[in-house]
Amino acid sequence: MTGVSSSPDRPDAPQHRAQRALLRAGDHDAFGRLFADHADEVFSLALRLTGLRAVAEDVTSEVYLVAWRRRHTVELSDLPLRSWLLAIAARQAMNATRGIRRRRSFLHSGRARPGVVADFADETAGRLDDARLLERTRAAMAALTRPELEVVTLCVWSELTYAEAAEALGVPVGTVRSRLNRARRRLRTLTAGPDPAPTPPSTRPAPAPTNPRGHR
Amino acid sequence: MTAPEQTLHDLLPAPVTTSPTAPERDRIEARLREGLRHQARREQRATAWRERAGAVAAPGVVLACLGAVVTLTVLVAGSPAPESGSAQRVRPVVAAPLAVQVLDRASRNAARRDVTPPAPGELLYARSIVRSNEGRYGGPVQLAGRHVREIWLSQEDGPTQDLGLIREFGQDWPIRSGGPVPAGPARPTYGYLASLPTDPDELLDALESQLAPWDDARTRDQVVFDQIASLMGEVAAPPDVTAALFQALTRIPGVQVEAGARDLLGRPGVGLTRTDGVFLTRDVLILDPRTGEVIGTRSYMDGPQGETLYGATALVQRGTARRAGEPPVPPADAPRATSAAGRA
Repeated sequence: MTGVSSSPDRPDAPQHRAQRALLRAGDHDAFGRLFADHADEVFSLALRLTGLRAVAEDVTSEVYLVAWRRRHTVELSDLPLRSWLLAIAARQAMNATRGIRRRRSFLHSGRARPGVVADFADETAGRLDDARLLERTRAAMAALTRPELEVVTLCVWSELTYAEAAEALGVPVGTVRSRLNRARRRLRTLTAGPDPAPTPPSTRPAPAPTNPRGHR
Repeated sequence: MTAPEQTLHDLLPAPVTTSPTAPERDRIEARLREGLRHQARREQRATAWRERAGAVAAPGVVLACLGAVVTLTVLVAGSPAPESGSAQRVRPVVAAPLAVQVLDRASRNAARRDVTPPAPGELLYARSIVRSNEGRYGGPVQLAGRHVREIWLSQEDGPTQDLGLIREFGQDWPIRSGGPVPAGPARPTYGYLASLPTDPDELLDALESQLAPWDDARTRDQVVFDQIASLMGEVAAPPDVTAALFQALTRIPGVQVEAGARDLLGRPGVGLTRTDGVFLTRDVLILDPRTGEVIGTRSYMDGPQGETLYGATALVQRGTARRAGEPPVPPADAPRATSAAGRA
């Protein structure tokens, strides 16, 4: 049990619960709203993990298909459906890369795959700092285990709370915390290596999630 | 942002992305619509399949061979399942509260698992470590030592006589039936399981409508529990169906949790059980709490001196094989620890 079924301090909790109940009952409008509100964010998450826009497209459709098929397993909790959806997205994106062994080639020999770089390079305006950052990010992602990358994706990039991530992943909150700690330790070891990143990463603003938290 | 995320954000900044462009979004929507249509067709086919299966009866001889828990003959008459996506009646959750918690979690974890359906022509393979009662009928229980049991189960959905193979005690025991048996509740292939509803209430309706008459004194609840248990061990089902099976168990009175259950190899899990009030026996399904996967079983009978263990298993390997008796095909993907073994 995750022990995370309600958070009375959230004013929008009853709305989340209602949305969950509607989706669980197979309400088409509720599903449509889920798509309208979060498809962009799901796509971004998939693109971050897969590095290829075409794959991110496929993953986004697949995420919503899986969400529809699993609507019966939605828990009637007070947490936003967004976290449940993003957890599906993280897993589907990792599956997509794993299934075609793209993750490995993407992460370990990105330079040999011009398509991968090109997809991101478009976004990053070809600045040298961005290219370095991308290179470093790719190496860092490769250093993490799948469960670690999963919680980093959800808690750091998509800014889910521990409780949201825990419920969405079906693990205790402490597990989320310890995975994040492990990820941090691993990444520190990596950056302490012989070739430290030249760019101070904090100068780069985090891309804002396409939807603010709590938005339905 | 709290400290760990702040650091992590510096260590691993999110790759910059943009939203999908209009054409990308159109393609995403088109693919999703196509997928949803396909899904709807699949649900319709499942309904039609149930009605068709209702017309065929199968001999019960086979069932004894299928091992552990299968005790039912195939349905005699199917009843049309609800057509729409909404359950005709919503059943109350009646299992013991702790069991409901465990089942909810198992259901969620099962829904997240990756299950690769067997390829056409492949058989389902499972390898178990088993201790069974070798005592005489009517005599005291004599648990024999551990041995390995391997089973290959045909996934042919059409009627067939060659149902698979059991390798046990150094011998091969082909599973052959007297007549062709279609896939169904008594021969739960992946295809049959994929045809079941994924709504727990509809699923229970479907399973109950498919129950064959049973000639022993078990209660209806026990028979349904046994049937669901038989759909979870050495079989493979789509994740959403397994998730619904766990949810369906919460609607059966008397389902209980046994904390601290261990399989035959001592691997810890969560036990799910229901005492059969007539024969005073009970089977415990032992689940890996993280994956919702069945890792083993235990069987007890109640007597004057208390409960006696009369059988136990540990499922150690699952997979698919191209032919009965052949070793399982290595997964096409990167090698992955079996989820029963877990990640340390």
